[in-house]
Amino acid sequence: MSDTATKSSWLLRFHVLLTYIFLYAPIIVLVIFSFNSDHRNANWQGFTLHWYSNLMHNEAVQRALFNSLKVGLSSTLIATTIGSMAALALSRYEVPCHKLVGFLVFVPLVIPEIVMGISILTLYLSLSIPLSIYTVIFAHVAFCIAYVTITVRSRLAGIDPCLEEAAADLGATRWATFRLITFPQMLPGIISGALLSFTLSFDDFVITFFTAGVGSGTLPMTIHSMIRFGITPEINAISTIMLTLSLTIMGGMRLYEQYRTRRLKAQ
Amino acid sequence: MDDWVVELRGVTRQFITRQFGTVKAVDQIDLGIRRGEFFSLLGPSGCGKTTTLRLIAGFEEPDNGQVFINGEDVSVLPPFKRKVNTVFQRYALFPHLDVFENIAFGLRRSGTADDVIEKKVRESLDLVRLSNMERRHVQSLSGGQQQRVALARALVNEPEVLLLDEPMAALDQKLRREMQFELKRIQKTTGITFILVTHDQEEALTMSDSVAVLNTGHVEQLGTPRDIYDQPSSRFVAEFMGTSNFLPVRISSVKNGRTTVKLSDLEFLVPSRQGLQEGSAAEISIRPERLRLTHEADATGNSMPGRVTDAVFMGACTRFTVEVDGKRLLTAEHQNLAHSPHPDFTPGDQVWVNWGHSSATLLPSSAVSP
Repeated sequence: MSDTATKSSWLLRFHVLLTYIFLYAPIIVLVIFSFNSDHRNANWQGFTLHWYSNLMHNEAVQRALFNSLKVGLSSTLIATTIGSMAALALSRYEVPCHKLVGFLVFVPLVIPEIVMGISILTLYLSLSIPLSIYTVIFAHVAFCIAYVTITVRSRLAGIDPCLEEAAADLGATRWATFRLITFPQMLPGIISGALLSFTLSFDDFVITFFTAGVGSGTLPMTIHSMIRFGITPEINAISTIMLTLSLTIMGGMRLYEQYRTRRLKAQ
Repeated sequence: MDDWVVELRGVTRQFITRQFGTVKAVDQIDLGIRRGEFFSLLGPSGCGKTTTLRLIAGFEEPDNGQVFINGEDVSVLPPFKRKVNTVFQRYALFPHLDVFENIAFGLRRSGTADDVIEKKVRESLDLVRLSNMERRHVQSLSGGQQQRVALARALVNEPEVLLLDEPMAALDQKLRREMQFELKRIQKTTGITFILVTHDQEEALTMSDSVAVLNTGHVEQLGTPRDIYDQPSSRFVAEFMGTSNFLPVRISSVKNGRTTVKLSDLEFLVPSRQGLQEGSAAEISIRPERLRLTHEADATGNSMPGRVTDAVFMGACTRFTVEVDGKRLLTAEHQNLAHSPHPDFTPGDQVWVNWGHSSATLLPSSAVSP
């Protein structure tokens, strides 16, 4: 009996280990080889920062990074504003066809990206809008709104509606109630939604591929075109930078939440 | 003319629900609340008491009728323009503000100067006995403390009326007693009109100057706690205000403010009630503590023979169950005094059940069988 238990617990650990290796080994290898002095991703020749300094002088990569940041920041700003307002409307006011609207906001999460990309491209073409960096931004706004709305809505669901009544009861107009009570309560949800939408926009490839104009390629698109000439440690280095950026954002979110809970507990 | 601080005239508020269609939460209610009194809206859940409170606060607008505060029609005035403040059931303290800012919220909205705010917040914290808690975060407070902050936050604005929506529901028994006492003290100190919503009849009886018993959206009875307990207007009120014995009777004669009623071949004398004529069916309600058990019939009041079926010692009193008139069961409670004039009774004893001529209340016959 205990023999079987030991055996199965050992099997379970092995299974877990394999899962983690499968998930993380390729990423770790990618990061390690970004520091490899050999220009092939096969043998370890020695440590170097050469590929990173190479990137500093690579104008195409620089331009792509700049585009990515521009797209990420603008679409996050727009999507967060619209998404937060949509979330507020859906959870606090009587919206006609409430359920249908809520569902339509949710749909972009499940539409295959390629379908979304093609449909947005078709829209631009039929309206004769020339592709540029702005068409990318608007396409990103379209899918980021969904993520922001859902994040902010779940935050709003956790807020006691009595708080708003209490504010009104104490003499606050609707605007004052929003400014002093509702918005500060929504803020953690808005911040999470914004970080999430920046991360999604920053590494989006498919939708960007369909909607980008000449010279408005983002980092993932540049990486894709570089891969056609073989995987170089330079690509490893870019990927490592993108990974670090994403992890920093996620880590920042986590620290922010910890800070909030610790501040509450401290009192 | 009474000095009503709050008055409701023919107020109706209905809600459309998917399950039950149109439901009148409040149906043609007329109510007047006197300045400076402690008023309770009492009733079971779904009776419309919370909706009535929300109509006064301004969170609901009446579909029909009018709401007056200080003689001014406020029926469609938004809550932030009304001189009333509310203590919410779950307190609704602002979680991102500390105790001081929670209490100062209303004063800041009315543009009060900072030094006045400082002084008033301190005074109100003293009033609710939470001095020196200004900088505490509200989520670090206990339920009882949060309740006091909610009270201070409402009172600091010196409202015409303070509305309390079942404020004690979330507190444990001991804390609830303490808070009831505190509320009464604060109401006396400030002289502000309090309107309390509660489903706890004992709470309403012990705290209020006036009580309105609500049932299915209308006022069943309005009066002092004593009136409502001693002279319930209906079986609903009698049952809701504690235990009572009900006996179905027929009215045989009405004379000099006293009515003679018959139960089988027994006759009792009870106080008359308007609208109940000779020959009609009725009901009498008698509280358990008004019934006295004796071995011999007591000629000074009403009495009927019976047999003790159960005796339960309850500390301050002993509760007897007596079978009368075939298989009807009555409950009688005897105080356990040091020198009890009542002999002890044990199950099986043949006894007489006695009550005074004015101890019972005559009620219209209810459809429910006793």
